[in-house]
Amino acid sequence: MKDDDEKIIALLENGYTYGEIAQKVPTLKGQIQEFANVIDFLTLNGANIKIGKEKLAAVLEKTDQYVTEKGNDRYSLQKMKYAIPLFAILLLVIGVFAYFSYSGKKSALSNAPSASSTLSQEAPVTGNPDDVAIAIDKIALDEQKTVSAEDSDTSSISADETDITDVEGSVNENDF
Amino acid sequence: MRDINVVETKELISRAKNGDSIAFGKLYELYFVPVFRYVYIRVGKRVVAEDIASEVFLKAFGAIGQYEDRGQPLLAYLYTIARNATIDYLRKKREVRIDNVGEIESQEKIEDSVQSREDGQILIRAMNVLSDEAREALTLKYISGLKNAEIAKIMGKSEVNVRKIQSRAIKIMKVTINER
Repeated sequence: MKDDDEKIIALLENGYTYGEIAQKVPTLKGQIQEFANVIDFLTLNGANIKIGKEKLAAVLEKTDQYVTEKGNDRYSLQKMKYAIPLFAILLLVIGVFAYFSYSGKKSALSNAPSASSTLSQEAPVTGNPDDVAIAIDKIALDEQKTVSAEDSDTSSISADETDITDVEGSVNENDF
Repeated sequence: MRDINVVETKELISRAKNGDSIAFGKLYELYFVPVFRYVYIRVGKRVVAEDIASEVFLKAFGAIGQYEDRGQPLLAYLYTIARNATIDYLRKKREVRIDNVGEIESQEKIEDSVQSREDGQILIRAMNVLSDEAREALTLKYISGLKNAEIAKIMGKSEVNVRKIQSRAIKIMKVTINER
């Protein structure tokens, strides 16, 4: 069972003003004035409790120093928090890079043609000495043909040279 | 108390959580006086109240990372820390009082004579007749401006119980005020 003060407290809590409470519950009229006096006393004197600006500044400075130190600690902890995963990612990247570069080299080496295979493809060896002799003869014949052809070219050049000499001679005669 | 900008407070809390000491300084400026008032009315000594209020903010900053806005305003969170700190102080004071009764009482008389000239002493003297619980329920309601639902959470009681405590306290205060 609510007493009168409890009723007033509950009604004020629900947004009613003193005037509205007095209208709504006329039996509370006498109580309301005394109740309001107590509340006024509390609120007015409570608002008078102040802290001097100088005192507040001094306390704030002390706390601010602590807060800054604490903030710096927290910042360095935050940095550490990010540094560890970054380092792990870096290690992972290096690891992946190293793995692929090693396996890439390995495959390139296995696909590379060997010097011996190249030589064997260019000069097949049958093992028969006659074949070798025939091949040598063929090469020699080819070389001879080439030389003869070059000789014929040289003779044409000589003829041209003769012509040139004649031209020169004629020029000289006319001039002198 | 209610005129403190909620959006601004949320922004400041968010920044303070990220280690922004300037944001925390602003929260301190906004909320120090209400917390100080609450502690002062409960302990009755300015110097002690200043120390406890400072301690509340240091603790709040240390735990700001864990603070989550679940409909409970920051001030209610600060009052909860202040309440625990005040209870610790009052408990220690009682323990010391048992060991050194004469010494403590003479010290308090000196302090009271100095404090009697300061603001708020009339209120504290009037509230001295109340139990600690009743003083707290009235302070949070009519000086801090909290709703009974918030006070119930802070005090760990039901709303109905809080209202009963307030009603009894107001009856005592009516007598005290009329006798002045």
